[in-house]
Amino acid sequence: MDAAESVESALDAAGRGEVVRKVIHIDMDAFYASVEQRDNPELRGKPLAVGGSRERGVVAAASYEARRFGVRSAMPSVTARRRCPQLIFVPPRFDVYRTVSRQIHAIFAEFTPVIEPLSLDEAYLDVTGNLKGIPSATRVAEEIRARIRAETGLTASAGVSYNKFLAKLASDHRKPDGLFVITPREGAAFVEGLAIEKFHGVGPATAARMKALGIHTGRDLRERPLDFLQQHFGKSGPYFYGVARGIDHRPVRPDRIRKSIGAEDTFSVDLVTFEAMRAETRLLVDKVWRHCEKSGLRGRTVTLKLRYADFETITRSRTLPSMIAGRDEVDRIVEALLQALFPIEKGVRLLGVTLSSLNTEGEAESPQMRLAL
Amino acid sequence: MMFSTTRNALLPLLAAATAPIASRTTIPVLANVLVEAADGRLRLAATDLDQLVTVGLGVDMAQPGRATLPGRMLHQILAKLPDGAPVQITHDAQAQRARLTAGRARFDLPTLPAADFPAMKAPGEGGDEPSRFSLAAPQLVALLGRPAFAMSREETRYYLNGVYLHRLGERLAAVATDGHRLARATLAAPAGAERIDPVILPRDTVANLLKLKPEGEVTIAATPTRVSFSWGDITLMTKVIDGQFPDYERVIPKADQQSVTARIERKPLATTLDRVMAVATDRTRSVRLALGPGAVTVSATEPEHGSAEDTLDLADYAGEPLTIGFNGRYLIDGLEALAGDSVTFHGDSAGSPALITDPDDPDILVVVMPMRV
Repeated sequence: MDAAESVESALDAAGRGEVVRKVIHIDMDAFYASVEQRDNPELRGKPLAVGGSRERGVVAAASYEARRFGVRSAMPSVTARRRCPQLIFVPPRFDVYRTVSRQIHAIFAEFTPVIEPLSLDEAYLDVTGNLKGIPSATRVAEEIRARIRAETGLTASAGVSYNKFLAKLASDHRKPDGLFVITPREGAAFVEGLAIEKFHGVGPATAARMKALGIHTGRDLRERPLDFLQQHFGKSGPYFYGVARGIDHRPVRPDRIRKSIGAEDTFSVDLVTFEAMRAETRLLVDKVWRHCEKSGLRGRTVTLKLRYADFETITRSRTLPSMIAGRDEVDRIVEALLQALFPIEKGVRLLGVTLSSLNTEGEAESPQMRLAL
Repeated sequence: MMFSTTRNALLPLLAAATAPIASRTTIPVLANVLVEAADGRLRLAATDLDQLVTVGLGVDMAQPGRATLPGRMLHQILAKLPDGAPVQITHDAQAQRARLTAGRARFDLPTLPAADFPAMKAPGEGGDEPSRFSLAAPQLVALLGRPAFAMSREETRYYLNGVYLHRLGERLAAVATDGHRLARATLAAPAGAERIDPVILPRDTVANLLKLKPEGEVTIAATPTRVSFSWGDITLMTKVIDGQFPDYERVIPKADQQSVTARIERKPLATTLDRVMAVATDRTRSVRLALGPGAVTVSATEPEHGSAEDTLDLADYAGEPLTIGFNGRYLIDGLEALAGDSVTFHGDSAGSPALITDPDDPDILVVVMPMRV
């Protein structure tokens, strides 16, 4: 992680009172679901899930009405329906989402060239020296929100702060249709009271490990020395050390073009059978594909990575002539790549699946349409 | 083993027999051609384990025997001998060498034991009784050759890497698709083909069969796992692809339910597409067809390669004007699979498959999925 670079010098820089950055995190509210409700009045005010209703389907986005029933994105459709029997499933229209995303991006671009999109509906903006010369970042955020509402008929939440970590926390704080500001003076205090799960970069697994170490809040995290965090969280240690103090020097990177989408997992016990590895790769493919759906990205190359018990690491990949259209196709390729490696004589400690040769233009699938075979 | 024949008698048969030999193989005997001499006849065979070609011819025989000789080398030697040259081949089993003499030329070739040559069971050998029927060679070539252009090369959907031969009511049908386009040829099912089980003939088999240019009457024997084609002294035997061909009929648009129908001159359309595609890149090959009463305008625009446009008159047009994008190469391939002077284009929208038929020949149809342009 970039924050790992130099926490100490970051602390020094803050102490020397260097230029304070102005970072805005814009996050569209229940994006896909809101677009569907905007375009079809009959869906307004109703619990709605965008995604496949079929057996293996996954909720890509849930409207706020659906969230009240406990429906969440990335939840299997079966579970979602159980929680909310009257849930309406709508198939995703990525073309439309991409169009709206481009509209929003065009609005951002009027204010600053320093835009780092995270997905179709989320972006960081550095407005320290913005194009309109507006001194207040809060004003910029208000104007952007108003413009998004006027031009797309959709609402966005904005977080304003002096780094990416806090800006993202802030946008989440008053969701939906909210704006929240965390000033440099409030940063450290805001983080103190925060539950550890709320930290960006702390997933369920890390949260469980933190809690086992007695870390439940930002305050607990702050009390742990750097070497302790490094010992337990490796590369992420310095990042946690920094953000616990409200410090995050990762820059907003405007031209960051994603080259690949990947997921990997290290196992507590080495895997030896094809079936066991197959089961793990299915989960990894699910993870990768969820990201594809969220970002609208598609790829042509699938890479399988294996790390053996003796740390020898190999990769095998296959590139298709056209963009891979569905999760099952990725899964089939991964299966074929894995199959070709057998018999495997050593235990396998890590498996990874990566999709690359992406359509980084944001043009989702290949323009060539496929027969519904 | 010792026999005599002429270069001209042996060369075409050897060319046929060696068709399955792959340019590189890890099993040495697969690079060899099996030569068997018995009862005044010579039998040559080669295989890639999936298909086996055997040819026979009468020769002057001094001594029966069998051996395998390097296929490509033997073919090259014969090709370089003077026209009409008499050829004698002698095999020394002890020394595992074969000597070919022609006039004063002499070649010594290494051999491998005939016992190493993999056997392949003929359809029905030790199993189900095969369906047996015959077709005139041009009919067979039209049936399998016309849809062959649409065969897939994608390894993940291996069951599309061939031509699907099956009964369709009273007809025999051959279908190929790569998921972007589909082609089907049919003919009246000959006697004996009433109960043929559906089979997927591998793309290499189809390619070899067409390369061998069958003549006269071709006898086909088919079981669910193996198919053979025999004519004259040649037999091509193949394993079929072990997979389920998708239910393709539902992706063929119903001609009478399409909102747009146009009759277009076939060759001029292909030429026009080819001309306009001069500006299209290899990567996209996308062209746009603006169809309307009286004319179709074909255009291509590539931001960095310029643009092109050409217009072609068309005879009958029914429906509203329609603008639809295609991979121009796919359209040309499809047009080439048809033989008549004109084709009928059936379309419904820029996002639905187009059906191309021959108004004078109900035995062929092509479906092409559009491209977003």
